[in-house]
Amino acid sequence: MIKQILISRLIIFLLIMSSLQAADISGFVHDAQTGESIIGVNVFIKETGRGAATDIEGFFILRKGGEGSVDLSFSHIAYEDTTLHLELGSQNHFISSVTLRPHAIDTKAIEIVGKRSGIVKDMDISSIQVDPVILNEIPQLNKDVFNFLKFSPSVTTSDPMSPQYYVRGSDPGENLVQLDGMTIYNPQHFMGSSAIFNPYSIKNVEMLVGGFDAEYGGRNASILSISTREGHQSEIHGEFRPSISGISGAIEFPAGKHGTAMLSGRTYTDFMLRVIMGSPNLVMDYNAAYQVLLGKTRLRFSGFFARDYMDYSVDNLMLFFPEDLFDSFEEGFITNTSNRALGVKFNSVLLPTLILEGQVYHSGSIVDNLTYFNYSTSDTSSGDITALDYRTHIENSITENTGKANLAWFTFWNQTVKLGFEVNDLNFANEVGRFDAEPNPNESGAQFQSFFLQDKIELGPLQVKLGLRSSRSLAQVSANTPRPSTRGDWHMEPRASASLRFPGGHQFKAAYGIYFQYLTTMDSKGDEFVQFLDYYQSLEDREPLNSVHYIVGLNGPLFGDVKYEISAYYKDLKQLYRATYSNTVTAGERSALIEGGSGESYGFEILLKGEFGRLSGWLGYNYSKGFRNYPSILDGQRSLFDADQPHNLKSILLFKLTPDIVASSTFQITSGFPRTWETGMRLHATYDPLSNTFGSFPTYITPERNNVRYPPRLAWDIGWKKKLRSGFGFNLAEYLGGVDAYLTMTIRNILFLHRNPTYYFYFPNYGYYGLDTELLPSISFGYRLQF
Amino acid sequence: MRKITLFIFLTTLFCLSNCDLPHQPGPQPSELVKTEFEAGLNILGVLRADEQKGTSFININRALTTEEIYSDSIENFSPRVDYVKISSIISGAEYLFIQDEDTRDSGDYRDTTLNVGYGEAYELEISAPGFPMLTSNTRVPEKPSLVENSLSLGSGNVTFQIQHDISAFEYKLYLIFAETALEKVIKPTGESLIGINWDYESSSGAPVYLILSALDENLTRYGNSPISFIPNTYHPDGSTVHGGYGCFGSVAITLLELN
Repeated sequence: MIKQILISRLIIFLLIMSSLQAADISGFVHDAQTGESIIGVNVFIKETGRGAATDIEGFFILRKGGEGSVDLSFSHIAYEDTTLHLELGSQNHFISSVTLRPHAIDTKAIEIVGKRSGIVKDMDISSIQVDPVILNEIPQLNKDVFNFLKFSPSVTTSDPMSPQYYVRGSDPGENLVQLDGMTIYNPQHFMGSSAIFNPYSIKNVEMLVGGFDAEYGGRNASILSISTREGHQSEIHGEFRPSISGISGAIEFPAGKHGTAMLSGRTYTDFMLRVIMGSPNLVMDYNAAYQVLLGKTRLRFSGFFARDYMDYSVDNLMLFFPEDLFDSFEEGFITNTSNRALGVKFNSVLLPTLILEGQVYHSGSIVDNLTYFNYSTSDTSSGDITALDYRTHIENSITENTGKANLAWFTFWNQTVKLGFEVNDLNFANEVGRFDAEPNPNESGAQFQSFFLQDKIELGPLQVKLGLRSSRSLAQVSANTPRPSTRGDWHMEPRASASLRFPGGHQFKAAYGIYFQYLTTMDSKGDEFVQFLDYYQSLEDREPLNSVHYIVGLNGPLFGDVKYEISAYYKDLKQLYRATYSNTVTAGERSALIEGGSGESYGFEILLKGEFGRLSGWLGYNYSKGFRNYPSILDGQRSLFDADQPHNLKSILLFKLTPDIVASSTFQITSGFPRTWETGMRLHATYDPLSNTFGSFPTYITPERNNVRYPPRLAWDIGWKKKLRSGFGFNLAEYLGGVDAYLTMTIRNILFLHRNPTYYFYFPNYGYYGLDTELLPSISFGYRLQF
Repeated sequence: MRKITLFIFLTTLFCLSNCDLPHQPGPQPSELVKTEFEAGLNILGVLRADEQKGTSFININRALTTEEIYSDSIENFSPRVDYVKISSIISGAEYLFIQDEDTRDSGDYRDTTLNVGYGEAYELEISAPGFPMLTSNTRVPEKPSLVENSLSLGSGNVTFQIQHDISAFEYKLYLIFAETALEKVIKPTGESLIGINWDYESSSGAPVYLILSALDENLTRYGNSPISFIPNTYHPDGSTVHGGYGCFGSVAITLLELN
């Protein structure tokens, strides 16, 4: 009884304190032409200089706006400056929509690259925000968001052919990708490692690489949040990109009085593979969104579907070999994956200082991957049979149904209080190994629950954010498990960050956080020819993955329009898991055998970005180390992390040759990866009980893991983009009713400088040669039509 | 303009002269942890319980360095062996396997007296000069059997139930026709009865025999261990022996004549 009285009195006190504050000004900012919300608009009061920036929803709030007449200014690199004159009273003031007129994008694109690439949000210590216009300006990135993010100092890749990426020494399975708030599993296409999202549909990309707030959870290493366009409010606009291998298109249009819609899709097939190799293949992705404004509530429906299929067989190449070379030969892979998400999200302004958000969605991924290499050949004189019967087969499916909501309250003392919850209902189905029998996947389910409370306080140049996230997993448990159960235990995840501004625009930041994750992924590198996908595994009732992050950073202006960012991090990876394909088949179990371990990673990053004359972009360097301990690897001794790359130098530069032509350069030199160098070979036998005979095939002996380091990797590509104002391309665009047309050119591996070996093979009398996927330079051209 | 052209030309020349072209090996990996090659025998030994003598064998060769396997000739691939001894753990009986004269070069060793017993346990010991002593053991699976009266033959289909025993870690089933044979691999999941529903092409005719083979733990693990033919990747060795490489396992066979 006393407790209830105290709580109610506290709430009344807070409400009274809120009402005694000077009026706050809040509202939304939109594009005057398209109606899209605008992110990153600087909003400030001319009289006082107080300012704020719009968030991902285009929402801003200015604390203590004052009373009487004020001039509110709105400024953004891609839009014309706008000023609003307001008469403020004592009550909070809400502006439902401020519209800004855009500049001509082309002339400002290079400036956007300099100013908006790698934008770090005010308090977030480790975040990257990407304006998609940047992807348009750099043709060698293929307008792919993952290709761009790989140039961040915090991100590394392990295999040049695999889309998996590592963030600050963590495993690929610790990265979360969300599309409009919906978790997307396996967010990359099978071939080419490109994202499964149509670039045209992308409005904003934000990646948190550490030190994230209490409102973010589910993964321990990074959160990549992709927002799609909302649609044009008054006209039909879009893009159409034909090519010899397929077609990509997108269209956005008004839908109803207060609604907008966007549809996009891509379908590609490789005809060379179909014709020469007889390998059917298909890659497609489709995205749809509908948004409607109902009073002060925005409702958004999103849907997504992607599919990859390829049946690749080397058998057709055997036509070029002597008929009697092999008694039998089969080599290839078949991959069949699909990805889907469907959800509805709302954002409601309950009061000018009270925002409610919620979302319900379904998402899932289904994977069926088979790789095989079978052959036999017999020596007619000795009767020896050489035979290999190699097969990997992985079926993996994950489905998720989620409901989440959060309430943001902008209250006294410049506080922003957020509280929320999230419930995820997941189902896993896995079958791994060589299963010639009828499929019988191991199925399990889990429910993840989490709550969070977070408070951000602004005290002049000092901002402090304190939060607590509480999470747990209710998972199905295998029968007869010998493990001590932690099923249903709540885990506390305290998060803290601080930011201090110094004169001259410099800013010091620090962050600390504990993170828990309740699922893991299986590693099939070295067993499948290339690991293209993540295979999700339930942890059942095991302890969750657990890591502790410590991060400090400093950023500010260097000279002119050039800025610097320096950050250092240490991650104590207290609990990790290793689920490998090898473990599974060796143990003879159908479910992946999950082994617990630990690790640590640390490093520092330096980034210079900005604009200098006609040159803009960034240059980044990072030093990083990572280690792992697993009982089954080298008897639990510490070993190098698979993606350990001590030194990385990366750069993206743009140079404006003329108002219509932009040249770009993407460059990286990185330390080589640790790899396992085999000491010898032995014959591995395949026994046939029917004939009581065996065939054999040489296999490598690898007593030590990651005992060598590959040579440094080097990649330098240049691109060129020209806006067409005459000629066939321009005339075609006019004929088709397009607004603009562009020609792009990409030159890869100029000067033969690429060094990116995938494997080293031994050749008698010559030694070890590195197999590289891009040994020769290449030139490609593209045409893009906008309407 | 001429200065720019000259600069580009000289830069290109400098880069090309200092970089490896595709036909050259290029820079090599650097060593992080010193790892030595461990010499040892490499074997496949199978004790076959099929109610016959002399059907078991041990094939012996040795591990090779990477350079050796690509050389024109490999010396001493099947090294001289002092003895190959198999002992019954239960009875203590010992059997010395002798090198097969017909296949001397391929390193096969056999014994004509051993009639492997279902459910029995055996130890292996191989001594060869210049190599560590190689040892291992195996427990032969019980004789695989069908549940009584479970076998049913239809047109293009055969169904039956296997009475599973925990000594069997994997079953390989064979349906034998006049001119062909079909194989099915079964991994037990703990149930005592394993139901099989097996379809076949009617054009093959009626099946003549059904062969059940039950593999022990060693052969199962070894046979399913991923073969590391992808270079520069770590694989735990699938060997089940001590002091060397390879596998010493056993298989139990049941032959059923189908009417």
